[in-house]
Amino acid sequence: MSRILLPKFERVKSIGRHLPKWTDPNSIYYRLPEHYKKRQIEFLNTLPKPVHYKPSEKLYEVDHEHGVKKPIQNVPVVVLYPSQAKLGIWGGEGVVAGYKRPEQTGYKRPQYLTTKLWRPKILKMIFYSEILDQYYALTCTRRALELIEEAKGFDNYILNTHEVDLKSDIGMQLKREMLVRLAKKETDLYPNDKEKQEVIYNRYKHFVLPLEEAEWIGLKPWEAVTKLKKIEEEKLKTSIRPLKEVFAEETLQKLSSGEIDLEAAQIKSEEKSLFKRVLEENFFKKK
Amino acid sequence: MFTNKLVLANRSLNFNSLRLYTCIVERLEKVPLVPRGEDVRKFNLKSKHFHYKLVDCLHTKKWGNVDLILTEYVEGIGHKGELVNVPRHTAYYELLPSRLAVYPTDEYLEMYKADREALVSKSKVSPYAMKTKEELSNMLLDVPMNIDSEWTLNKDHIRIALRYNKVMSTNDSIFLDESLKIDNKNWKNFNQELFVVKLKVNDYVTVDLKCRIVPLNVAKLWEEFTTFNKTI
Repeated sequence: MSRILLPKFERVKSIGRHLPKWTDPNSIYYRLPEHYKKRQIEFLNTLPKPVHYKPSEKLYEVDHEHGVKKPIQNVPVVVLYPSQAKLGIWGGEGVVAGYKRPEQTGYKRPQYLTTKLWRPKILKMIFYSEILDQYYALTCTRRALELIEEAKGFDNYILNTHEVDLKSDIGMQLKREMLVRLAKKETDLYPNDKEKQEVIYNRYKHFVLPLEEAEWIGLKPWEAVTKLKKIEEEKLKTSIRPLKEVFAEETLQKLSSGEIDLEAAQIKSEEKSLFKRVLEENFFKKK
Repeated sequence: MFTNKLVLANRSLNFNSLRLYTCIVERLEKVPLVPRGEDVRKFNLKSKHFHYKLVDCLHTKKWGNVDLILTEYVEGIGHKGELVNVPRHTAYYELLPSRLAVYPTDEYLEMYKADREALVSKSKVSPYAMKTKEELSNMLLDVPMNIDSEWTLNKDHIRIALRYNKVMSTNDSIFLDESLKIDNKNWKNFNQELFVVKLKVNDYVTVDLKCRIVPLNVAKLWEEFTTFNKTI
């Protein structure tokens, strides 16, 4: 029972849940574009940077009792990310849940284990992005501000960091919008001011991706599926041609080649039509 | 499930857990070695692997200032193109969101190179000039004078009166109106009504300083002198 109650690592859970979908050729996940699938596998397999623990610098440890060297294992701490973390930029910080023994103060007392939540301190800030030319009021942490200072700019931080370390939905949404805007340079990125367009495009030149790839970045699997369904429906609509158009084309081809004689095809005005003849034969003659 | 239990327990009992900081935590119980090449995160952790010890608390550390380049002239901080070291609060809540400053990249350093070099040749104007102007224009200066002796108002009197209010100045920066003549006989007129003295802060900035003449309190001075002697 205890195993069920304990929190597990987020990403490993998702591997087990989604892997059969990706490999089955009948499922819709199999039909997703390959660059998206490649990025998704990379997302599942990469370790995020350590935030709430310090990994040891040594690789091995000496066991003096047995005279053997043992390898050291860096096991990351389990971090919980609440729903508010998705709407802000916390720089990989989250809530650490665990047990703690209370410190000994005054007289001796029994040291029972107590539950403990270590929560981050959150600040409200206004950020300006150069590419989108817009202000964003977001929650952030001190660590996020330090990372922005290292990257030297809000746009640089969001474009540089991996999805694993960013840990926010709004961050990935901004990333996608930025890359799309860079791809659609002439229409979307400062269309009225041509000088500023070139300056900003050259500043973020090394992030540019083709538009087909940029639209898929940062989408969750279920979001990607809905997008793929829309694209497939549109393809179906364009692929199906009404027979009216097909026959019209065929006749035009025959007329141009000369297979049909126009004189023979024309209905003579003197002759009675088939409908009238049938009427006369069946109904009018009897009377 | 596990988290819900923790949260409920903390709400009712443990008030110390409401403290907020970014923690660095150490596991007391070691996780056993997994076979080589396998992901560590696939190991099912037990409850003993969640016993933590707080190692470090990064939030409580000092943060220090931040380096920025100004894109425009800002009062009290600096000129255009200048590299400044400002406290975090002004940087994050005033300068960066309003785009008055940017982080110093190589591109921006070259962009504002001409502005920084032009600052050397220009006459120096401190960014605090307008702040001093605001303070001095709101100030009412008391000029203490001895009623018994004979005197006419001089630049030195105003300079010393300013010094009592912790404003240091020179005689060249003070401009008295020549039509104003204040003696020991007509000083009572200027006790009620104020007279104006011009004070030069800069080549560009001058202030109208409101002043009045106040009789010098000898008894108060004597008290201060005696108390000062006692301390020594």
